[in-house]
Amino acid sequence: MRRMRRAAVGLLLAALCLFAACAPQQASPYYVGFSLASLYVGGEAVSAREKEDVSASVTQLLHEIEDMVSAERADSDVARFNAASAGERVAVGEHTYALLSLCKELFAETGGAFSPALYNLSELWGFTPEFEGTYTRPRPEPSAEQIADAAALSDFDDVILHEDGTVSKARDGVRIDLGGVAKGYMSDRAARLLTETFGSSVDAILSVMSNSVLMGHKRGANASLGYTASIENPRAAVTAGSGAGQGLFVIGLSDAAVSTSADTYRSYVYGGRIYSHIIDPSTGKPSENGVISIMVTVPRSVPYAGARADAYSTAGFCMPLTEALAFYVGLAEERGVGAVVITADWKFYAVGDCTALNRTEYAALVSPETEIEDIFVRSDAAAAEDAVVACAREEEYIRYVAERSGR
Amino acid sequence: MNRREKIAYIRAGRRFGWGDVVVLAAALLLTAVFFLAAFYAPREPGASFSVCYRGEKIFTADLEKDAEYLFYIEGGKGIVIPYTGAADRSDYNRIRVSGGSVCVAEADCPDRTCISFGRRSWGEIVCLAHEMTIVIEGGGLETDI
Repeated sequence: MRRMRRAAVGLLLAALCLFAACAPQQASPYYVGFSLASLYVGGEAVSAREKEDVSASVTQLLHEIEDMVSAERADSDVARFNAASAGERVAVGEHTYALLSLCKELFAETGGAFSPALYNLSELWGFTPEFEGTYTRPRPEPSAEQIADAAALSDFDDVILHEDGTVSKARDGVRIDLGGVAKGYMSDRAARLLTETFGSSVDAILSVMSNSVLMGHKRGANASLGYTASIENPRAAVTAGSGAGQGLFVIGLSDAAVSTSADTYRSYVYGGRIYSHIIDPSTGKPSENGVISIMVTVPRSVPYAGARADAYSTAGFCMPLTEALAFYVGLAEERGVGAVVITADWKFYAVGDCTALNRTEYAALVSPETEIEDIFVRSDAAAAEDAVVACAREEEYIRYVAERSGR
Repeated sequence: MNRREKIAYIRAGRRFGWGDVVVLAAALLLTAVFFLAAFYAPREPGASFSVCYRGEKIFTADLEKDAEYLFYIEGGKGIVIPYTGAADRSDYNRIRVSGGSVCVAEADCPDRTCISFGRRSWGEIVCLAHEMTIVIEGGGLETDI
């Protein structure tokens, strides 16, 4: 009996050893992923060893930022601010303060369409982290009263930044979430770290989740096309066939931050409509302006290009279509921004400084033998209308999502 | 087992108790399971492949089109050209694409490990001697991001 017990213990230990590597290394996991590819300095490919070293420093930096700005972490700056009462001055770290200052600027620039103070509304609609795993569950709308109550505590003007590096709120219950710019900001800081490490002649593709910074110029194969990006097809679920995951392509990119927002993830279908996680501050409801995806490119010459791209791509969801397009045209003139807006009638509008190609156009350029069909129809921004009518295929997509989520 | 039993075991020249055998067998079994899972799990076949030299992508082509290519190293650079039947290069790998999979058909590297990878429609083929890797990629058109 004893022997058997020992054998069992031995077996257990052996199994534990095997699985030890799978165990989480940290008590608090980090959610933000980072990748670095195609790294060149002064035109020379950087050795794997050097790349590994710099990746480790970038990862460490991103963890530091995440620790400060994650609303989920009980001891983060954001969590402490959210728990504070009106008038209480909360001391925050460098990154949190920089992000909030930037948010103030973006809030003004987008006429309030981008706001980090929507935590209460996001929570009401079931899109805050505690609802993880149930974002796609169909659910009825909250009542108008509930929305009004949450909206009353969702004004970014109630968040006050003080010169001494502290932050306070003008009203009890105001809560923020920096998720809409944090990853863009992280990509900016990561890019800065690369420049500090290797000097200004860095060429690299750096991505923090769906926020990429294309540093310098494309090297290697097909360098003449510049950096190329595909815009994820937000309707891939109902468009089978070759390269279904790719909706559109943007080519000729260099020294730019790229960010895409879409209604595909963190969204649900209820009563035949899509409720996305992007809350429109003007209505207190998930945005419903007929937009399904927006990609924005911001030149790196603009400070905090990544954070801006992140915020700009969200802001366009919260404006009527013509206003959104005009907003991007303005940004194009002012800052050299480019934008591609895909709408629920499966049209797309390319605005400003970016070369957007449809699937067949891009295939003709890089791989003429590929059999591929277009999904979205190129349309003229000048002819766009605010009332976007979902096309039949969009309705098919909504039905598909509804069926899959059991409604 | 107690000390006397242990001594008896060692005297008898038996270094293994049955418990050891169980542990070893379990470890072996787990290794085999992981090994098989890694190599035989069904994979989505790729649509295209890239040739990388010293970690840098130098060439990309479709897997659907049957063709042969020649990778060779010249002046410290990796180059890929369509194979014309003339193997007049040194440091080369002849890459053959047929029926949606890719293999190295012939090479002048010393170990020929690349050839032993056989025909693959997913994963990688590596030629250590030439620092050349063939990476098979998923469906769709290649982009940077």
